Amino acid sequence: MPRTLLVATREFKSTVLTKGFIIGIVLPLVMGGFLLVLMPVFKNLRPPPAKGTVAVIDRSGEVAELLRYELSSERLTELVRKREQRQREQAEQLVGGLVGEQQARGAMESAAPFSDVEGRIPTLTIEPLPTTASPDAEKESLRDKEGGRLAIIEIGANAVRPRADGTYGGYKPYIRSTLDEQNQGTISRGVQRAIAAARLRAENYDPARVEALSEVREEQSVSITRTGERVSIPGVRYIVPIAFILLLMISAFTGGQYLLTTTIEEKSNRVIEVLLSAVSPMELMVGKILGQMGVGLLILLTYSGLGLAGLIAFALLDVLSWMHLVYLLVFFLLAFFMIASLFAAVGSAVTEVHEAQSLIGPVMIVLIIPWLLMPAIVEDPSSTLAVVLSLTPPIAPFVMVQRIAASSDPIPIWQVAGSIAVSAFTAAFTAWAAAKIFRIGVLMFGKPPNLATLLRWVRQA
Amino acid sequence: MPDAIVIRGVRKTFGSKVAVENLDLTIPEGGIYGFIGPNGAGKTTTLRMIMSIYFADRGEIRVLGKKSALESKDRIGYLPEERGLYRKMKVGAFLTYMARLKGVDSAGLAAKVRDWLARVALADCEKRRCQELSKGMQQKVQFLSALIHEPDLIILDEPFSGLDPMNARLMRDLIHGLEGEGKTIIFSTHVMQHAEQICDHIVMINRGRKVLDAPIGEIYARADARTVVVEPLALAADFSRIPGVREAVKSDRNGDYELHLEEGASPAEVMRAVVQATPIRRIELKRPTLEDVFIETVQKAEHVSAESVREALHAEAAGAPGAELGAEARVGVGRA
Repeated sequence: MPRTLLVATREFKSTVLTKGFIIGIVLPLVMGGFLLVLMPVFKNLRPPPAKGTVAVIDRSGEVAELLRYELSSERLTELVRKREQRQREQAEQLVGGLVGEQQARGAMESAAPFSDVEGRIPTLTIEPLPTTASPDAEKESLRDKEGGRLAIIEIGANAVRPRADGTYGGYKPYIRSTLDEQNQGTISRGVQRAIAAARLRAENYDPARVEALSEVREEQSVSITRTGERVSIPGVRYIVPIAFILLLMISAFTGGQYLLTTTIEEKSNRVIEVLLSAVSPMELMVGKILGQMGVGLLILLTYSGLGLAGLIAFALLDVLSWMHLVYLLVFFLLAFFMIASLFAAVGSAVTEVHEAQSLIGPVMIVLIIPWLLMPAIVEDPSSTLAVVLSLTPPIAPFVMVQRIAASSDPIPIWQVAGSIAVSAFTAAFTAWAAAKIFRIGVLMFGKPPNLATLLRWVRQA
Repeated sequence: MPDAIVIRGVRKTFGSKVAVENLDLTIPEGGIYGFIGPNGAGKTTTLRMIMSIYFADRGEIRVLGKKSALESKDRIGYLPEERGLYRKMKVGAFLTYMARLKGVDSAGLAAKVRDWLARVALADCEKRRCQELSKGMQQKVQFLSALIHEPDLIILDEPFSGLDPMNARLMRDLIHGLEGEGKTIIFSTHVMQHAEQICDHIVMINRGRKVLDAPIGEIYARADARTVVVEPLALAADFSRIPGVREAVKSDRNGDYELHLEEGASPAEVMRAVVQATPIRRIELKRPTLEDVFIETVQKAEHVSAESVREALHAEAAGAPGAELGAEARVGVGRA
């Protein structure tokens, strides 16, 4: 076996066959699952329903009674029930489209039974104040710690009937600062509904009838794909680009990080010169990169395998073609070689992990930029910006992967080929520069070099 | 006999510091060669250039008949001064890995590893992790990592530094054993006594230049013995009065006198005069040590005082391992 492969094999085994690695690869999955379970729990965490009075200065004289109705427990309960029913139907249709209606209903029933609506309804008493009352005087009561007054609503004189020029007035709420936003919202929406109802009534319409007429149901939309159809899922077009760039980054970065630590370890163990008696610095570096590429590939395959399993389970496989996966692999290899070379160079130049921090900064920026650009690229994968970025070193592979994943039409082949060429050139260049730094760096102990020194090593070696 | 190493006109600089200057050296196959000189003299740099870990700025280095060590690495065993192990690796696995890197066939390698471990009394350590071994045991494993592939040329950089006396003896025995098998051994040291004890041939390096290159017997033959040691029976004579004696120094410890001779004085005549002057228990012409030779050589070559050379030679004692590397690192950064 060539020496480079011997080095690669040892590097791979010594990284993968450790408890740390196994924990490292499993932990994100466990944490993801944990979040999935916890998210609904967090979502249901709400402040306790408010109890108290809402004072009204009704200068129009037509709203107070309607407000009493709109903020009554019965009315609020009815509205919440209606909303939950609607959300539930949507969710059922969505999941039903994926796994079958019967199963969906059963699943929803057990996963999310109707929540305890009554427990979440605030108990509000309406306290009409004289129309001549001054809010400035009354609002003092909101400062009291005790006293059940939560808010004072001042309804404008023209809130219900328009002024001469046809414009309507509104209302002005004064709210106790300790009242949470949930309950503030409930009160505000109640006031708005009451004023709207008063206006309808003023025009001789029946508010209940109008409400019923304004409700329009939309059935679950259907996405027509090349090979069939499925229910539309909001955000599905973002899934693959996000997944691709995450996969690329996690696998490239994890492998690179391992490379950094093992190189530093070999230096601080003083085993490096023993190795150099048998292999050249170039063989050692390439061997280590290949070994960690294996590690990155293992991570990539593990996670993308899980991702594929997920897509199959939800019958979403059509969002992806096999070519996508081939490209992902190609760009992974290119991106990995580039990042790993940089990590190897940094690792060779320093003696302790903490010394590497300042030198790793620029590498991290390369990793973060494509992430920041993602919304723009995914929104329009064929825009000039996206095309140019996908041909710009060093971010080309990261951007191209997003374009490929996000675009509904295939990316022109010359652009893909161009991006591969640019990425390959970048990878070769970084590997060449890294090899120069590596050769000098591995035997350099003492004060860690700065970026300028590293660049000088590249030039002089 | 072909030469193991041929170095012609080699120069190596680190930034503005010249580490090795215009070095010519031929080392024939077989025998033990000692590279001596103070720390920072350029020994490690020279050995690294022989190993093609560093490349010379100028000049040519041929190793085992090949253009560079890269083409004959499998026949070279190198024990660097900065040596270590993979801490988490098992001893047997580490030696197997090193042997495989050196091109040893995997067939029969396990038996070979066990055999070598048994030779240094580590037979029961094959399955233990390197970090579980004592420091002395780790040193033995490091020797083996340089010798496991049974090389023809063995280069040992400061092999005795940090060794406990037991391992130092084991190292010496290993070196002599390898010499008996006809191997070529080069080792560097800043401790002159080590070189005196084992070398056939000495190469002295100071400030990047070769100052002496000769068989050890020749060095002693050439070096003037200019000190007579006398142990008188009683304190009778004033030795400094004897013709040809420049100075008589009394040793505090055992009552010996060291008589330093004047330039051109005959040791034989001085000794005769001493014996005539007073009854003595013992008289001898003291052979110069390698250190004396080194100091004298450098003194002559560079016109510096003996004290400054001696100081440079013993500054090493304070220097921690890696001091040499540190110096180079500083030079490298200094150009920024």
